Amino acid sequence: MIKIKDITKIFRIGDTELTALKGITFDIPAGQFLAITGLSGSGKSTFLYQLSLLDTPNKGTISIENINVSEFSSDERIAYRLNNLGYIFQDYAILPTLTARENVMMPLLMRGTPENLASKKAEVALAKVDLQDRFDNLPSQLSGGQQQRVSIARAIVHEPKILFADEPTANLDTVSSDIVLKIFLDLHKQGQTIIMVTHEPEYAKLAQRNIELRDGSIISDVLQKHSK
Amino acid sequence: MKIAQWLTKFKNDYTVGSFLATRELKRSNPWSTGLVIFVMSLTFMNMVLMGGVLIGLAEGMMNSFQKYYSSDVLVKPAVQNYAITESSILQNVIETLPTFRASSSRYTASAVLENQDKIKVKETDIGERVNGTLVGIHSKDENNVTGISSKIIEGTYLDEYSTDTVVVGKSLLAQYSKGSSTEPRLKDIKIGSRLLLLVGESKMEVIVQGIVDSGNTTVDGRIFISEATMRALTHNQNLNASEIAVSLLPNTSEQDAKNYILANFPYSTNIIVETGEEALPKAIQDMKKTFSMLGNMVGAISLIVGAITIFIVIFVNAITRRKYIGIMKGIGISASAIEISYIIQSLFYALSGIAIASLLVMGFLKPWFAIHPLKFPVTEGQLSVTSSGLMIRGLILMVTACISGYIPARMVTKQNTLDAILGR
Repeated sequence: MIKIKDITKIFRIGDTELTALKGITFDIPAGQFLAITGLSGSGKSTFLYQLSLLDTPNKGTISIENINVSEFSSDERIAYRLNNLGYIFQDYAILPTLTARENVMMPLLMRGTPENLASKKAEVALAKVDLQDRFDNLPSQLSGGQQQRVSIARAIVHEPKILFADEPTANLDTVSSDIVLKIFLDLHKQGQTIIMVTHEPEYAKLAQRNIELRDGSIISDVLQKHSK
Repeated sequence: MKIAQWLTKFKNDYTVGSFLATRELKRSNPWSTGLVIFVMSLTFMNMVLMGGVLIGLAEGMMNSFQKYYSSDVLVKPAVQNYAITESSILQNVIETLPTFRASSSRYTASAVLENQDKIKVKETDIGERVNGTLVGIHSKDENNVTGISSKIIEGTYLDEYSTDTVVVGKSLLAQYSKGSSTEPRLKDIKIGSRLLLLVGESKMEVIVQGIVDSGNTTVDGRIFISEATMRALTHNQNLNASEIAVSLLPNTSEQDAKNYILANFPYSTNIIVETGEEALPKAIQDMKKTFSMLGNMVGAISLIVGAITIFIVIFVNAITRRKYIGIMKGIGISASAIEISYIIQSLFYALSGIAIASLLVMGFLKPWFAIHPLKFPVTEGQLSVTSSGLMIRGLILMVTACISGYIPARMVTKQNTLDAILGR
């Protein structure tokens, strides 16, 4: 489903060039729960940004369902993210002036879903992450774990083909982290493709496949025992 | 992109933009929102008031000129300082006008008013004589045309049988026209004061019956006397009028009346017929244009201040929310939708300011100035504000607000999405 070929990302800082990704190539089948791990600075977040179309590689191609998405313009990338991708940020990244329900409604409204229908779908998504009693709370009235679950609900409400998660448990306590991982596993069981960056080995082990990066290159690609 | 696709995209952008804007406004700090609206109200008031007062001053001069002097149509002799040939025939023609309401024939002559009491104190005293235009009128006719009796500020208006009384314009009397004018004026004149009136070789003693303050310099520099007394003073029983002011029925054409008079008066080549607008001195017309320009300049400065206010508010808002704007783009919200949300917020500030200022101006200030006109040395000024003027200025402010809201929003939304999210 996702074909990654020779992805290279170079950062230029003054006269210095830093190669963050060094010609990464692999495929991700549909429905896979992939964990990308590595030490800090290994290039795992940079790699996720290229895959999720938040950034453009200097070299190489990314094809999703045989469409070369790495050649998209800025507006095409935004539209593609809206219709096909879901993204969970490390620091929740929900909009502070919108309630939980309104945050989740945003991608639906952008896709032209009527407001009342978007509201109902948002409620369903929030219920999936066990926030049925927090629909009308503002982010400031939610804990970190609850905010991250709102972020997950927002990422899955429009049923994306691929769900990206950038260290989703980095700012959470153990209990909240476990809840988030359980949600991911449930989604994976329902057939959701998930690509998660994490630096926590115990959570990476829960994924179906684990790719470890070091200095911008893949050093291991392990298909783990359990599967959906 | 096809039109249908573009429309769908715009609809979605607008839906999300208004969704974001309404939540942002609803949940923002009410004090800061109130402050921005207050600034916008002041901006709009400044746009409307400064121009309104300046134009109101010019209009005050124009109105008093037309109301108390020229009326709707003014007929004058073609040659200055001469009387109208066969003015009684002209008067008859005027009275046959289909739109005729009233007319007043005026008989004018240069005159001198002399305060003899003062001269008796010291022969070398100056300022005891004043030059003015003596105007003989049918008091009732003149009042029907101009309503001048309502502008008598002291004493009473001339009655039909006045023989030795005058109404004096305030500009000829020192205590009623304080100002920087170097023109001589009579001092300490009261109602009942006896003055010597000199017209050429003729003279007679007159009593001051009233003092008129019309707000028009021509009228306020005149000495009014009854027509009969004027004839007696000038020893001329066949006196032709020097000017005839004609008042027409409401909402009728001054130009048609002018054409009618010219077409029907046999000696039309000897007269000049002017509509109220044409009779206005060029200086007043120029003043209106200049004041209008000054008002627009002040308004433009206010507009720039308002635009900068909105720009700063939206810029600070967008910059502090740069990360969230990046996140919105990250989850697929288009840059246009985000920009629309800021434009809607700017429009809300501008519209609220316009609404509050309009209510204040039309509901309070305009009626207040109508009752308490601004007193200027040359006239009384009112606040000249029309609904159409308000709408045009409101529209200009709204367009400016749109642009001022769009530019900073665009500056932030066009930044790289990932850089915005990561705060780079």
